Amino acid sequence: MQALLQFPRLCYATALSGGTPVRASLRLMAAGVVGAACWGAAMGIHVGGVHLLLTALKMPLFFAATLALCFALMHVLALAGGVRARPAQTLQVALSGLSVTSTVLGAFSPVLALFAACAPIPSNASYVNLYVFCTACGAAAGLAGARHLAMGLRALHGSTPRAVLAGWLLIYQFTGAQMAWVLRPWIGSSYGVEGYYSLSRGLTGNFYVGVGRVLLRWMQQWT
Amino acid sequence: MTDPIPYKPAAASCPDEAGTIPPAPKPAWMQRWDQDEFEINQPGLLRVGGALLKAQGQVARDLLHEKAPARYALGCLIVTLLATLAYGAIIGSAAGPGQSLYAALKLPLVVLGSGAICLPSFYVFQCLLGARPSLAQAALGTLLLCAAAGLIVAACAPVVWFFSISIEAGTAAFLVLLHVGVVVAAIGFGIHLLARMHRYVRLYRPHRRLFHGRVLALWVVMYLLVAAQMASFLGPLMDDGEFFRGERRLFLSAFVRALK
Repeated sequence: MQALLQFPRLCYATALSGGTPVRASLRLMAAGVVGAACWGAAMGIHVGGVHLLLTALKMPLFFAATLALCFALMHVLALAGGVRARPAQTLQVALSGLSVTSTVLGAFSPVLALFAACAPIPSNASYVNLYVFCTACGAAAGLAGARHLAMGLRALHGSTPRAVLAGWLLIYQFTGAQMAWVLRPWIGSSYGVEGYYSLSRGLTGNFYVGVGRVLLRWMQQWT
Repeated sequence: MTDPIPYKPAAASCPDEAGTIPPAPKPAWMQRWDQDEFEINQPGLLRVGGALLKAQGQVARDLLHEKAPARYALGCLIVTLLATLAYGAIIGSAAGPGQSLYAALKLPLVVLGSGAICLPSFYVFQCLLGARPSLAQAALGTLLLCAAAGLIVAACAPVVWFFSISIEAGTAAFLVLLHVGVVVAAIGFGIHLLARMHRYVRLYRPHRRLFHGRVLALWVVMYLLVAAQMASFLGPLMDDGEFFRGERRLFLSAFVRALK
């Protein structure tokens, strides 16, 4: 992981030119799981108890399940965009981007853990503050991950296929938002009211419809 | 003394009449740093504190070559502990001897704990933005910052103590602002030292960045926020009261309450 952070081009050149893709993928996955679990635990510390454990498990699951759902489309899109890659190579590039994202989130997790543990509960202001903090960290981590994805695609293709990169980000973002919705709550909307997690509750509704409803409510309040 | 690192200027100035590019002149502080001498392996770990003030050049070179990192780390840790213990005692002294003892125990936790919390983000972002520190160098950089800041707060301690003993009811806000000013100045000194080390190493190793300047600037803001939250969580530091309240609140609300 240190090599990927410090010498990404060299890493991609070595890993994608044959080598041991399965081993490298497993290592990347391990690094990603640790980072994501730390971030999930830091989020869950706001509510504490079982919620902490659940979010620590849910966060790596969120990344892995989203990739599992999107991988076929991502690979097809890469091929359609002119990137002549084997599935193992596409997986390695995608995993490296996700691992960097998770590692950055993991690096922020002690800071989030401190603020989440100290934030009053139950309090809507605390929830919104933590939500904003998580979004900012997520944006920073996402940028770092996207930068590594671009480097990986460049190593595969010679130059960065921008349309493929944009497509990958869009697909992952689109599916990831719904995955996050299904696996909710994250920071603490449960507050012990509806239990820590319920799959049937997660599967009701849709992220985009939910956002639309909130926007509609705001517009009705303003008019 | 001969330069332990061969001189390779990173940036060149205008060509001279002969068409050759003379090396950029070194700033005075770098010339001073070139002359600095300090041997970490001699007995006395507290000497690290003196080296941070008088032999920064040698400290920077040792940091680059990772010479005796464990001794440096231990030295920095001891300097930080002693300095923050003393300053903590002074912070609490306004509320009596009991709180003085409590605050003396808490302040090292705030300073070193915040460093530990912020270390992963420091290291990861340095790596991501092109700097090449090892984890040991990043950790040592954080400890150097804490120790340098500790030296400044220790030096300010007598002045702050003098103000603490002459405080009267209703003027606690002045003391709060004084402490904030001292802490910000101390961290400012620490970050200034790290930034100079970065520039010093950069001059001799143009292709080897020890630290990234922008990350340093952003990171110090995060460090201050984390330290403020830690202090708020571990508080009270100045009020008379129990050792640990464990109150869940944002540091800003505690700060506003202290000012009132």
